[in-house]
Amino acid sequence: VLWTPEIAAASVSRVKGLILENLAAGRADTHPHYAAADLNILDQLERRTSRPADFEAENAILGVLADELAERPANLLQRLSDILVERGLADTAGISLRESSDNGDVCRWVALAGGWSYLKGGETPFDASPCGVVIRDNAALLVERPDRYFPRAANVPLIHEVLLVPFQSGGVPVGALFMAAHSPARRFDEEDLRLLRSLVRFAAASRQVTEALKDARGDEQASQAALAADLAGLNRLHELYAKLAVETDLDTALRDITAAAVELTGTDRGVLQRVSEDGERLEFAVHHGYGEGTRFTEHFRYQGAKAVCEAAREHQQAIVVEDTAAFPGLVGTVDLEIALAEEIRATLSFPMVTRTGELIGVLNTQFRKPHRPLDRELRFMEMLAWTATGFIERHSAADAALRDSETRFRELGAASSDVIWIRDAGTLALEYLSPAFDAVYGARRQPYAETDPSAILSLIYPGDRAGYLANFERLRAGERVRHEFRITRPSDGETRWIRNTDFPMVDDKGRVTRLGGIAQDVTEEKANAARLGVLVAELQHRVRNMLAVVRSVFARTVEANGPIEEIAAHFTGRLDALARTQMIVTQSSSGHVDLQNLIRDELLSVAVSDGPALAIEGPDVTLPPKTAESIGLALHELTTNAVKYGALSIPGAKLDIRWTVNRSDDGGRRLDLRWTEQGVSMVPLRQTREGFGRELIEDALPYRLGAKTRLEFTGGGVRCAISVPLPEDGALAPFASATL
Amino acid sequence: LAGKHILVVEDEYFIASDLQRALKKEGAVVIGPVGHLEEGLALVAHPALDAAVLDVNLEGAQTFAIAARLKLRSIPYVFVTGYDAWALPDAYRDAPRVGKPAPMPALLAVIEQLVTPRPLS
Repeated sequence: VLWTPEIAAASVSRVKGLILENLAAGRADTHPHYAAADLNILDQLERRTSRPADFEAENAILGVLADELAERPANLLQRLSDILVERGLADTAGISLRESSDNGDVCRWVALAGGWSYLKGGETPFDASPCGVVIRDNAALLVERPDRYFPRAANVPLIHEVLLVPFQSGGVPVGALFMAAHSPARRFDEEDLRLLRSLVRFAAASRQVTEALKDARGDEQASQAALAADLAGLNRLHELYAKLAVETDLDTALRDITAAAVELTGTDRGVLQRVSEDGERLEFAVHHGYGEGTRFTEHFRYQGAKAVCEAAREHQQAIVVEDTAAFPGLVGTVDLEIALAEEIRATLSFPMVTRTGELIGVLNTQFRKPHRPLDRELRFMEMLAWTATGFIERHSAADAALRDSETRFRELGAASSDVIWIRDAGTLALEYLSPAFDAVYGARRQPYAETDPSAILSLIYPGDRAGYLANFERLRAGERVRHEFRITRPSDGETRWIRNTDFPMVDDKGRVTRLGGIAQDVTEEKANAARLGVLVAELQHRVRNMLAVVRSVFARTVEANGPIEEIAAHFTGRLDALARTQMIVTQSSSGHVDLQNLIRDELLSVAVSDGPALAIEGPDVTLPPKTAESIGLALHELTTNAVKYGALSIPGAKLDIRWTVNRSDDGGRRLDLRWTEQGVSMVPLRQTREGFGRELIEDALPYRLGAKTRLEFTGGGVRCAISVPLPEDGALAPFASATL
Repeated sequence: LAGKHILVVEDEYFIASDLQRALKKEGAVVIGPVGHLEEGLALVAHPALDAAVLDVNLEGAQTFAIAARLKLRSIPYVFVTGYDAWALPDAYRDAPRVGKPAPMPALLAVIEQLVTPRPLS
């Protein structure tokens, strides 16, 4: 907090030996200068489908590693390899580190798990291993079938794909962490790369701590006190990581990290600053050991941060101020005055830099006396700054995912023509009501969304309200409910049917905390269903009635007695006549039938057409379906008879069909149809019997149509008169209403 | 069915006529048959009526009014119809019903049951 760019530059040069350059090294991934350009296929990852970032898995792994760091720090790298294989992320995983040997540099597998674990401790010449490429390029590497490029390296079991990231120490790449797949089915994606990069930073930082510990142990001069402090520090770190693994609240996490930084640097005060939203300043996120409202907190909460920001951005390196009073650039400033008043005599400041090189904050601790930090303190600080960065990154990614999902939800709600709603399960207060409400309920959304949860009830039919409310109980009990109710739309006073499809929404403990639902206007749907029901019922009725008629006609045809061929021919003829009229009825849009067409169709069916012997004459007249059906059958009987025995069977005989439309005595319209045969001398034998045709004309037409009929056989042939009531002209009902 | 007075309401001539013949053969006295609602309603008042056979749909007019009057008079009836139960109003869904096309023996058996006095249970 206490410097300008100049001061920062000065401090950098002053503590050169202590600067931890590796904080910036994560950005150095993009300098490939390996000759074989086709070796590294890392850019393919962009085109592969990637799983979403799995922070939960990452936290779990970090938790395990933190345990290992505390219990068996020397085993940390092996544990990391093991866990990658255990979790099915890799078939083989390991870490190789560069070593110098008499035969030149080698890469040694210091940790290995999975298929290649038998090679642990082994080595490959530096120039003959992917690890060497990673170290040289200081960049991640994805290789397909590495055996093609590195013939001297191991190849059993065969590796189909291997992903490596640089393992750094003090900013310098010293090895590689890698995951390999022995099966072609496993292909790495961007999430694998992200996870590997995160884990390697933890591993590298941890290793620096443990190496420092090892050095201290090996140093004969190291006091028992220093050793104890190192061990205590490791325990403190372990405690922190165990807590962070399950912590979801960002503020709490940053507070914990700051507290740990204060303790591990052996002081009592510290501050974690974050870059402000506009990127201009560094603001306090956490301060530890300072009271609220002191001159210090007021002065530095927002102030002077611009210079710090620039310094931090420019250098992105740790800045150590061993003595504030003697620090160039601070001397004579208000900052120094306030710092000294607060008894700040030394500071440690570590930038928090993301993997992409963005500065997001600074972790500081302050000392009451001039202080030259121990190597251990600097390493702890570096690790904690990295930890804070990681937590913030994960948190903001999760935050962004949540915001994204909320945006999507709102877009969905806005686009839906159905009403989507969410209520609090306890109070039933509306938490969300989609814009479609206005159109569906015909009422303004706002009043119903914000006021009394039962306000919506006033729109619902009184008789349906109890059912509507009862469903909330079922939802609270965890049931899914679908129910329908009626509303009166205030906008137009119309009654509408609403179908609610409701579901309970539970928290992670399974308790119902919210009720959700989708309300749909099903008025049209219900009306259509009802119409369809009527149509289907009507169709059934007609089909079954027709079958009953056919059966009856069949029975009567058989009763007539005679050769089976004749019976069959008669029956077929009648069935065809029925079918013909049905066809004409259903083909005309109104269901009404033109009489002349009906007659001509019938004659055509027995191959009789216009000629001198045939006269068909009458005004245009259309018959309702029922009338057409019966008249059609009657015409068929007359025609068949005429073809067999009458006017159509005898050369020189004549058939005269004519009709008129008249008013009867009661004023109703009637069709008077006359069928007159002439020149037939012989009265056919068949016609003397009580046949089907006679029954149809003399009994069925009067019964069914209220017709008056007369059928007689004179010397010249058959004469038939049919007088049938007609609906008033222009009162022809359309087909649908005539049948329904 | 001998001597029983059976009302037949059916607008389709052939079906009505078949039924009439079958009932006569059983010795029943057929009232009707009629094919119009008004005629049917008028015949419900027939003093000797024992049972009725009702088509549901008479060219668009439905015979429920006849059924209601029969019920008032405690005269049993059976619907002979092309409709399934679901297409009937709630009140008549459980009424005796024979689907069209009704096999005559089955229909006669139902009518027989209607006119057979049931023991009090």
